[in-house]
Amino acid sequence: MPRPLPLAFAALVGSAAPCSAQLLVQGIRDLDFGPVIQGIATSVPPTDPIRSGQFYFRTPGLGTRIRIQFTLPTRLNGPAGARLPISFGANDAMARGTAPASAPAFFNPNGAVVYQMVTSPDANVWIGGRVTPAANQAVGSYTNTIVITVTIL
Amino acid sequence: MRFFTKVSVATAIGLSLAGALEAQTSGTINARAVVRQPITITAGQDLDFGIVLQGSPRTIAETAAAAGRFDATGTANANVNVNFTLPANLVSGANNLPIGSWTGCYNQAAAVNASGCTTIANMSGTTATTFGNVAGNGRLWVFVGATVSPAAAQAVGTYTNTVTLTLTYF
Amino acid sequence: MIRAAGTALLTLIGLATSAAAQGVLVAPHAVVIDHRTRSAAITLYNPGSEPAEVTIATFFGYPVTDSTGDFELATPTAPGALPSAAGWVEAYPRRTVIGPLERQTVRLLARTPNGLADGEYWTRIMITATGGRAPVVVDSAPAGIQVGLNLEVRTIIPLQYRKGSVTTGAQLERPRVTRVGDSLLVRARMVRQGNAAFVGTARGTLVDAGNRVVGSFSVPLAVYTEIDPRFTLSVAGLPAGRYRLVLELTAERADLPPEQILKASPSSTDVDVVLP
Repeated sequence: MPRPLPLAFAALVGSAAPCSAQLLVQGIRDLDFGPVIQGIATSVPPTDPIRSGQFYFRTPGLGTRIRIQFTLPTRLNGPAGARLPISFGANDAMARGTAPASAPAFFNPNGAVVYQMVTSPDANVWIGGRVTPAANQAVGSYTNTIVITVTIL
Repeated sequence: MRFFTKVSVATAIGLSLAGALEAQTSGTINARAVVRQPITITAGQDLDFGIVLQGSPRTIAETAAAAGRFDATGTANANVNVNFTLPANLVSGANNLPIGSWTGCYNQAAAVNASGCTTIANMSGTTATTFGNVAGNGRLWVFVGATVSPAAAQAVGTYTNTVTLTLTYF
Repeated sequence: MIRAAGTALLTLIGLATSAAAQGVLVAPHAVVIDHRTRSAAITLYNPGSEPAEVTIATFFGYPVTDSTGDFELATPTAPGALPSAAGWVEAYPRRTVIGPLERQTVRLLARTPNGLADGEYWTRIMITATGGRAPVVVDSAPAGIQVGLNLEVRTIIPLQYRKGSVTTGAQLERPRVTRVGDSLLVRARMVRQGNAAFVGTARGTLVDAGNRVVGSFSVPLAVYTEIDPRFTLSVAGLPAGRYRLVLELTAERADLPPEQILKASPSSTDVDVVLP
């Protein structure tokens, strides 16, 4: 639900440099599908406590409006140029504030979402996904980068 | 309790246009996966005896459409051994129903047994073969037949037993 | 109910329990455990529509070849001087039920004996999967007889445990070639070097007098002690003449992760072949 910008927030974003110092975004844990079998699609939900990818961000304070946007790969890069398709579904991202009573919010990582911080100035974002190895997918390790961009609005 | 309030997309776009006030930071993680090749053997088709009469043995040849079929996949041209553990009887309590004359063959090219199916000479022994050394496709199909010989006075009941197929990968 | 005079019906059904596949996928098909981590995992996946009961066990065994060049698994009751890991590699869980289209990770943990010397130790993992009981067709006759067969499939894969310095290689002897029908049967003795199994690929290439490749084979294999495998190469349609068969062994396997393969120098040998 849209909320009016608080006065304190407006002061914080008055210049880009100080505001940037107030915003912290960190990659915490890789999205790790682990061993996947040729020909068998494998999904990792954002709620997976071990395999889901995790980010952490801290905003200047309560009431801050932020936009979360991912830059997602469509393929993981493997041995000798092999590529492994990866996709992300409607509920493959989950955000939750660090306050004890915070409830998780699921969203589609393929699009941007805008939130206003209510119960805590910081939050974690988890991301899941799905890889679809072909029946003749080259064996070996595959990797690519997921970028989260958090913007104070 | 939600930790924040989701703002409508329309509102978000409107706010984004006020770009002069934006500050943004990015973080990265990796997405990782390790692809492994499986080996598998599954039962692809029943060995179907259909209706059998007391006192009338019934045989299903390994080349018959009703033969049992096992489907296996692995590395193309990899050596593999196929071994059966076959029951001599189906059992119902204290009663036995003889089953025997097991026959088998394998095909590395296609899931059909009509042609190119190599006879398994000794169904109680070990048969060495490979995965798909004809087509190089990493596939192997094994076909099985048998004869059941119910006695004329075969006791009624439910007869069962277990057939074990072992695939050894080197 | 179909009934012959005085004859009860027997309804006999399947080696396999249903048209749906019974069994599990096992990946990887070869396991390597490093002494520094002392653990590995295999993934089991049930592609069927019924739950699969799975048990995992280990036993000692290693591949050899018989007099015809076929591979078989030697399973001595006591490993003797051979390096066995069968007594101290354990699977967790050892028994599980995997639902349809579900997967299960099985951990393989090594509880190495004190003073274990550097080297490579071997065991085999046997994954036994039993599908659901054969669906018994209930005959409508009060005196009907029902018959079913349960299916059990076992998959046996290798496990190698490596501690400290391990080396490998394979000494390749000159191949012996005989013609049988429209094929060449190629036999070549291979003797493992070092203290670890050689895992690689045997490639054979038949070239004619103009050095053109007219036939080839590529076979993944492993040399644990020594083997004398048989390879088959079609020569159907080749004209009479002199050819040369080149056989080479390389420590490469496309089906296994490179980090799992011990490096070894390639070896190669060749022999002249005359096709009458």
